[in-house]
Amino acid sequence: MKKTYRIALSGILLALACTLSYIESIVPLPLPLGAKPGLAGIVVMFAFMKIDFPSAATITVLKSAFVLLTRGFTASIMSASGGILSLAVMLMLFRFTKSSTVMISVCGAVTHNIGQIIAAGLIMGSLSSAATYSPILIIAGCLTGSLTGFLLSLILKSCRVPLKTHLIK
Amino acid sequence: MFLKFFSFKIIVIPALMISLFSCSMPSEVKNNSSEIFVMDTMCSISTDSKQASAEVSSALKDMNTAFDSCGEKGEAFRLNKKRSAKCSDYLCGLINDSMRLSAAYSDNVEISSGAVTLLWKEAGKSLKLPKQSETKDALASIGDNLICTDGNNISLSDGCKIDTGAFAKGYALDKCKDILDKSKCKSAVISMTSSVLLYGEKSDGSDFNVQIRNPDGNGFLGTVNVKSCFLSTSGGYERFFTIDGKNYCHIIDLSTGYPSESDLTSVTVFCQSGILSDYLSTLIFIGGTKNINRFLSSDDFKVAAFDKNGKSYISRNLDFKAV
Amino acid sequence: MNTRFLKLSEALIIIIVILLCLLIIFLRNGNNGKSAIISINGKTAAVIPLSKESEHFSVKGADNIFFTVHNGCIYVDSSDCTDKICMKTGKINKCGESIICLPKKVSVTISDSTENTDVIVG
Repeated sequence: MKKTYRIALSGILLALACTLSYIESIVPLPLPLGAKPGLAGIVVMFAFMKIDFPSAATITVLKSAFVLLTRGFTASIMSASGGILSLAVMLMLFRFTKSSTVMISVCGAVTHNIGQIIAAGLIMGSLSSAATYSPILIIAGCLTGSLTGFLLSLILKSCRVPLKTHLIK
Repeated sequence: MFLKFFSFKIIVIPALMISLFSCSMPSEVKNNSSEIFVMDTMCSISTDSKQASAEVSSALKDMNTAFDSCGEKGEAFRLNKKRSAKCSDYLCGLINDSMRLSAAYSDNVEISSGAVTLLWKEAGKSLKLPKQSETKDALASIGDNLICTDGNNISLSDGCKIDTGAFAKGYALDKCKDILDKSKCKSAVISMTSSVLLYGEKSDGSDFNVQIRNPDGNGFLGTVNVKSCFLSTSGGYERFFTIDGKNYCHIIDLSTGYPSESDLTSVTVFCQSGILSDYLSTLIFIGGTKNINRFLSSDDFKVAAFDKNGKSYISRNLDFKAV
Repeated sequence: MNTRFLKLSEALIIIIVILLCLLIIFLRNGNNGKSAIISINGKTAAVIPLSKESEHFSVKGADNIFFTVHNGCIYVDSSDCTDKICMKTGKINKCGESIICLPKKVSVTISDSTENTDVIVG
C-alpha cells in the first residue's frame, strides 16, 4: 500500500470515526449509564485489519483529541483510556490468535468499557465505586461489540475485493 | 484457540473479580446492640459486653419510671401530685444534682420549672395560648427554693412541680457510665437521641465520630471527632407546636415564662458529666447568640452551636468539621 | 486473515461471560444498605443514614448537585452537569450500588454499616 494512499485513507477514516463519535454523543440511547454503540470501533478495527497498526493507533489518539476539543477534558480521558486499551487488546487477538471478527470486536468493546471504568475510578479517586458498574458494562460491551463486529464483517465482505486488487503495489 | 481463551480471560476474569468484591464485606458483629424506648425516646445501647448492655438496659427502665413526670405511673408525676413523698435514690439524686447545677450556673433552667413547662405542654396539645394571668401564676410556682430535701423525703411547696426534662437523660447516662465502669465493657455508645454517652476506647483506637444533623431536617451541619465523653443537643426544630401560624419551641425560657425565642437552632455540648451536658445545652440554647461567647472558652466543656443564619459557634478546642 | 464471522466456541464464551455478569448483579442484591457515603474527589464528605428522610440537600464541596433520601433510597434529584448520568442512575439503596457524577467528581456509595459514624445527634 502506497504511503500517500495510506495517509489519505487514514484521514478519511479519522473523519468518519470522529463523525460517528459525535453523532453517538448527541443521540441518547436507552443503554445503561450512557453507554454508546461504539460505531467508531468499526472504523478502528477496519484500520488495523486493512491498513496497519500504526494508522489505527493514530486514528484512536487523534479521535480522542477531537473529543477533547468538542466535549471537554473528562470525555477525552475516557475516550483515550478506553480506546488505547481496547486497541492493544484487539491487536493482540488479531495477531496472535485466530479469533473471528465478532470476537475481536466484543473483546475490544469490553476492554474499552473496562478502560473507561478504570479511568473514571482514577479521576474519582475511588476505584471501588467505579468497579461496581463493571458487570453491567461488560454485558453492554458484549452486546454492542457483537453489533459492531457484525457490521464490520458485512463491510469487510463487500470491501475485500476492491482494496486488495487496487492497493498492493 | 488456547491463546484466545487465555487473552480473553486475562481481561474478563480480573474485571469480574473486581466487580464481585467491590461490595463491602459485611463487618463482624462484635458489639451487642439493643434498643429500648425510655424517657420518651428511642435509646440505643451498643457495648462490647452482653452483661453490661443488660445492666444498662435494666437501669434505664428503672430510671424511666423514676423520672417520668408525665405518665401516671411515673414517680416524679406522683411526687408532683402528692406534693411530698419518699423518693427513690435515682429521683433524689437527680433532684439534688439538678439543684446544684442551677445554683452554680443559672436558674434559667431548673428542675422546679414544672408549673410553667406543664402549662405550655397543655398549650401544645390544645393549641390555645395560655392566658397571661396563668403564666404569671405559674411563674410564681417555680424556683428550687420551693423544693425541700430531707434525705430521701422530698416535699414541694406553693404549687411547685418538678419537670425532669432538662436533666433526666444526662443524669441517666451518668448512671450508665457508673455501671459500665464496674463492668468488663471497654467501649460503648449509648444514645438517647438528644443525649449520648461515648464510653471508653474504640477497638481501633480512633476517636468517636459524631454527626450533627441540620435542624431543618435536611442533611448535616458537620462532624465532630471526640474521645470518650457525654454530649447533649438542644434545639427547637424537632419538637415545636404551631398556634395561629407561629411556631413555639418546646424549650421554655424561665426568665419570661414563654417558649424560648432563641436565634440559635442547635446547641451541642460535650463534657465529662452527663447531667451537665444536658443542662448546659438547654441553658446555652435559651441564652441565644448574644450570650454564647462566654461559653466557648471553658475548659470543662465544649460547645458546637449554630444560629438561624447558618453561622457556627465552636469552642476552640473542639475538632469540628463542617459538612 | 481472520475473516470468519463467529465461531461457536467464541459465541459460547461470550454467552458464559454475560451469564456470569448477570449472576454477579443478582447475587449482589439483597443487602439493603444502612448509609450512603458521599465522596468528593475520593475523600468522604458525608455519611448519610438512609433511615432519615431528607429532601433536596447538598454537600459542601459539591456545588449544584442535590440529593434526596426517601424510603431508604438515595438519589440525585438535580444536578447542573452536562450529561446528567447521575440523575439517570436513579435510586440506589443496596450495598455495592453507586451513583457517580464524573464532571463533579462526586460518588455516592451504599455502605453496609454506619461504621464511619458512631452516633448522630441533632
